Amino acid sequence: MAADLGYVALLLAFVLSVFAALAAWWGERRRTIELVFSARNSVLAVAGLLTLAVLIELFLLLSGDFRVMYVAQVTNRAMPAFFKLTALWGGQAGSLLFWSWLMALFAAAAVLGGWQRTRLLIPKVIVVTQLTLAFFLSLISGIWALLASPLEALGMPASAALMSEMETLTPFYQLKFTPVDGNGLNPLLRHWGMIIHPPLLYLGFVGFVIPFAFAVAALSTRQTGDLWIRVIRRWTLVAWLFLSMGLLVGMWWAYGVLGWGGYWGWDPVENAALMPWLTGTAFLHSVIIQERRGMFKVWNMVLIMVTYGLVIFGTFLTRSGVVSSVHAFAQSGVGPLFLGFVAATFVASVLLLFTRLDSLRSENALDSWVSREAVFLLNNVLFLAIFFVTFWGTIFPVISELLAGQKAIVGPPFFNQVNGPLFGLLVLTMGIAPLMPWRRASPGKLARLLVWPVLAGLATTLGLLAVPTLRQFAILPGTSLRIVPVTAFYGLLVFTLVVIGQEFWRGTRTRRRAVGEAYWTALVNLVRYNRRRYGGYLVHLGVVLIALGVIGTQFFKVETQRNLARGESFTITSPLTGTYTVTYEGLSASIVAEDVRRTAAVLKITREGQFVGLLQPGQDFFIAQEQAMTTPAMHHSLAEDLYIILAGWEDGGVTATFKAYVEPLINWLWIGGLVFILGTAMAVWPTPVEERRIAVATSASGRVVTARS
Amino acid sequence: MGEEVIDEMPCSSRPAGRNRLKFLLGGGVIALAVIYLIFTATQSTAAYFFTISELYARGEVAYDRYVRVSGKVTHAAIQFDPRALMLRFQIADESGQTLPVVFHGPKPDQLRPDAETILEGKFNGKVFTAQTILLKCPSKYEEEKGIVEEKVEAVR
Repeated sequence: MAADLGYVALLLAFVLSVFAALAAWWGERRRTIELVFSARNSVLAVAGLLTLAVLIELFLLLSGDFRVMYVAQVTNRAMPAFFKLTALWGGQAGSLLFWSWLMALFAAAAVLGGWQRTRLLIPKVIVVTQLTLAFFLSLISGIWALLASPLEALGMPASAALMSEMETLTPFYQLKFTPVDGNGLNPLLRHWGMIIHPPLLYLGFVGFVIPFAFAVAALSTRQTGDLWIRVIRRWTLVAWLFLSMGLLVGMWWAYGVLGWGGYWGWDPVENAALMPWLTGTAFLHSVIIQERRGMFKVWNMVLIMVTYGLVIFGTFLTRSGVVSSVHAFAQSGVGPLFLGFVAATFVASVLLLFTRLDSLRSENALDSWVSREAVFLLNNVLFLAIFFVTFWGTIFPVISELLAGQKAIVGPPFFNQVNGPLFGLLVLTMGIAPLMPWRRASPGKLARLLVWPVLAGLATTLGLLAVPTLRQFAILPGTSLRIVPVTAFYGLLVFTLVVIGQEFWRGTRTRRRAVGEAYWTALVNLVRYNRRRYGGYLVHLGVVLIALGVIGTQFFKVETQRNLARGESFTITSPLTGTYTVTYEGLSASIVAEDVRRTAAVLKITREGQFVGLLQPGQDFFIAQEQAMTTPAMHHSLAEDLYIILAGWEDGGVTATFKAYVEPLINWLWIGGLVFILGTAMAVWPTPVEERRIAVATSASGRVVTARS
Repeated sequence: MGEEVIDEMPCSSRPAGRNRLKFLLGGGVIALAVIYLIFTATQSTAAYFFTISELYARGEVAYDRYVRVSGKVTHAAIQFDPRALMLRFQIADESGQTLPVVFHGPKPDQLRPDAETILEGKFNGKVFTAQTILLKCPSKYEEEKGIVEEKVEAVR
């Protein structure tokens, strides 16, 4: 009964979203304001209907109505209520519903928020968001199953079968019988990281649809001035913030739960989330150039269009993993439909762009290689290069199968080898950009600003090169350049760090002199009145800290694997803090939850003879799923993590096998992530009106100037 | 529209054409460098998928190259020495060709006769030394398309 109601809400939402798109389109063409009003109301109604559908789905999950196929797939009786709720995004049908709901809410907010300020853009914004939404709703409302019999009649039984299967993809699909119990949620997903990771990622994905919608609206109505750029700034930053958080939490989860001592494996699913982030980040930067100098207009359009395509592609990929094989792709109707949708929107976007090229003429040209515009351009080229490398590596199995007839894959070494140096260059542009003035740098001033950062960077590189123990640890697989890239990278990081510090210092000093505030007040006010600029610097600081951790684990990670009898021990030597001794004291068994049993090993850890603590790596056995999951144990410090996994045991624990890793500097990755998020949040936070006036004045001059008001 | 196509440069001191050319050249050089990097890295790191028969047929060409090979674990004895972390087993493809495998690492829980595996590693003509073992086992979970994977890596 409730499931039927949910299904009706879903169908109505689909119909209304199509109607909203058509009405907005027609209303704008015919200049019929009533139609546009009607479209707006439909957008709001769709948001309401989908909220209802989500509430009903949650009710079904919570009440354990296993007759609903989705409920039986992702929950079981033994699961705690909280996990039952989060199972909403535990499977494909549910996550598509969740995605659609977020899309509907974002669209409603964008339409209501922009109704006054961007009246001319709104109809097209409605068209784009509602068409996107309609596509997603068509997948989960069984619409495509209607095509089954026509396809059958046309003599295409295979396609017909795929389409009729789409019927079961709705989250309200009811089985002909009621199973006694459901399958339950995959144990790996029962972790708070996996609970918030998908929503964060989806918020990011959905968020990027709004800037795209405004871009298309601006383009098609030839309102390509400043307006749309200003309107989407906050949307873009919010989307980017969520996407970044999603990526970071995903890494954190992979590290803490998956038990392989890593956090990023260049897996297609990870890449699918990274790629829109890369193009989105490029967009975020280059759009500043358009705002300030009226340049890169076509480029920005292309970037946001590509980002949109990648967001749709990513949503699909994170739920199906089809890139691993062409065959898996053809097994479900969802794959071809998604690809078709991405291709169609991409072609439409490119056509639109070509017919509007005349309205995107650049207002300025690049004056000099040595200018902020040029550095931003380089930054964009690098982001796009990294994106392309990632894209190539992700779809390489498909390419090689289609072109060479022989399936091959490229793994992490490929990505690290190519993207590693590119990321290095990116850090360099990140370091230099704040020092570059617009238009053209004066060599003397630039040189003066560069002195300290360059000296500090060089000193770091040379200093590290002189440390003999570092040499034996720095291992770059497959090349003879071992120590040089590592120390160069650290030199770059310090360079960037000093630039950022210097920027804060210069701003504070100028403000202190001009306004006569004390140092701390000046610093706080400097940041308060220029949130965008200094928030940005904080983000950069976060990136530097993240890079510190990434390089540490990439180059200095130590791992070992041993089988120990009770009382035996092994050693593992850290490049930073000395040698750990790990002694196996025995196994213990415990009950973690109603349906989870844990077997854990007790390990005594000492470092250089000093007692560090007890670690208890274990394995959780999920009775209902008959699945075991390793639970790593870690000893954290700012220098490194000691990370141990129980890989197996014999004779009830007489002997046991362990895998141990030393992960140097890894915690700086998480600290950097927090700084990164904080910086973004600061840049995105609304500036009160009276402060905005000052902010505008200060940013218009490009430098922090006095605000003696 | 579009008649007055002039590259406007309101307040620039240098001719635009020369600069544009310079930037295009610069961009071209970067693009070429990236393509070269991708090309060489693909060549040196790509791991080809082979069936067991293909692996034998390739002969020495495939030796000491990182490859992926898939097959079913045979009913021949699975030998595991936990103290030395040394695992030996055999896999076979549909044609019945078998491949002896050695793996230095812990024994995966799901490694049992008839389990579907994908191995990554190197073949020396006699024995396949696996670096990773990926096992595919039937699962109840829909999102993995009925497959749950277990992946184990060897000691480096």
